Amino acid sequence: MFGSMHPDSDTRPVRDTLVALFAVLVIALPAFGQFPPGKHQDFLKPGDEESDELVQAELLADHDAIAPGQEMRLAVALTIEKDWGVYYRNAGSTGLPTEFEITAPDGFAIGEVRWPAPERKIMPGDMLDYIYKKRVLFIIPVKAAADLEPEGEATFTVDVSWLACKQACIMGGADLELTLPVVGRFEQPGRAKAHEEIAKTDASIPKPAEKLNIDIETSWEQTTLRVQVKDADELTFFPDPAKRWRIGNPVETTHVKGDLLEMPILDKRVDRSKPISGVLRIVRGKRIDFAVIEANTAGRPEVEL
Amino acid sequence: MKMIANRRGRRIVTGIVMTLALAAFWMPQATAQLSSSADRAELGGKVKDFTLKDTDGKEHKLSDYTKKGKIVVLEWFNPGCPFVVRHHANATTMMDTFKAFKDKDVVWLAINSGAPGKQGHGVELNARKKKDWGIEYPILIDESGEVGKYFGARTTPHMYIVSADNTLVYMGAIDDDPRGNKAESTNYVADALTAHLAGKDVEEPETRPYGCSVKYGS
Repeated sequence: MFGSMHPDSDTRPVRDTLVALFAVLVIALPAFGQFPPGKHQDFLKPGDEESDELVQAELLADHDAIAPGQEMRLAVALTIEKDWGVYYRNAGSTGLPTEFEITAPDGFAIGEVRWPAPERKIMPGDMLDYIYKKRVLFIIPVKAAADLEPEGEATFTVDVSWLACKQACIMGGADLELTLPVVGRFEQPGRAKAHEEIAKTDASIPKPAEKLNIDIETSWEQTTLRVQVKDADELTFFPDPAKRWRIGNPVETTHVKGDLLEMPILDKRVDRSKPISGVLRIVRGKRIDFAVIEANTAGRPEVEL
Repeated sequence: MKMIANRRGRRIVTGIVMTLALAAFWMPQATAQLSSSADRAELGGKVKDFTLKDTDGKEHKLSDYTKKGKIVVLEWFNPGCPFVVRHHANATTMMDTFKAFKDKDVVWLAINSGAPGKQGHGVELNARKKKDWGIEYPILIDESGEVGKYFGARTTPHMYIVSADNTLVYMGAIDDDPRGNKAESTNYVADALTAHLAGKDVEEPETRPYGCSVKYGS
């Protein structure tokens, strides 16, 4: 079209000039930002009713009663609107961890919240968050004292707060309460409706590597942490929250198709008294396991970054 | 306009127009204009100079402030983010901190690194929120995200303090109250400025920022 060989004609001067002008408009205008801006995103304000619709929270139990000396599990279940997510205990580059304030009556001991492994959310700017989508259960272990009086009821409360994000973000929370009858020592509390879901989630909670019978090796090559898992097809690392170290280029380095992760551990002030820890998702064939791993930083050389 | 009738003349004109068009395409866009290509600002290290335009179209160059002995606070900003809304519309954390230090050789610049089409983008929107919220410092537009990525800005807000000798002395959150529910919170930026102005080391030079993600385009 441009500079092509054609016999002279009366229409060619006009056509050539118009073509050239068109080229200027198409090619040059973007350089000057003349294209109209995209549509603005609406944003949600804290306290909007949409917050309640985005995340539904429930407090569940795996048994319908509790007896002295019994162990049971509570669970905070969050059902999340499609395409929205709430955050893991390490939120990642942005966001806020989901938080729990748990109270139990006298005679009951509450264990640490058990967090399922999250999923990765990669965003422009090489940012990586760790989130949950659709539905997630957080398991709360409970033990009743052996000398608990088998009478009355026990009321448990959980104040849960979250940040739900899609493009916009909105804070949310719920004050949850669950009351269970306290029955005699030799009575057998029945399984509650939520037992199966709680048991299935609890089974998927990451476990210490030694309990999984998987060959996991950690080692250091200068300031790079190497995590190798025999026979793994895919590895993903979800680091625990940490103040004194961070992983270089986590979008690329914390996920690999293969059996070896190599993660640069950055920070001039690595606290050598504490290990680098997190959850390792291990895919071997059709099997997926979640292992809690720790890497002793004593093996990391003192290298000025 | 006199038409160019002969073939040679038409080819010359077409060639010139094509050259100009291609040159315009490849010409660097007048966006961030970082003065060098360092990968990332580092705490304790020297910060590279940059120039950005504010919502009134006025250019602001970092070194124009630091060479006058000013300390510069950078606040990553997105008027659509509820954390930014809280610190500007519900509370006045940012303006209160700005006012406390503005007469002490401290300059405050907000920067929006959101890309076109993303939440909070646009000169008109940012200018309107500046007025609505009574923000007395410039909001700079960094829609290419170049300056944001250089600083590693992840959230809105994400705060940085650059000393008068271009050293990055603080990076992180505005305070320790991400959920806005503390009766008393620690204002990290105010503490860092107070320490630095007194010639002392900043006790917590790096904290985890909180907020919405910066809406980069890529």
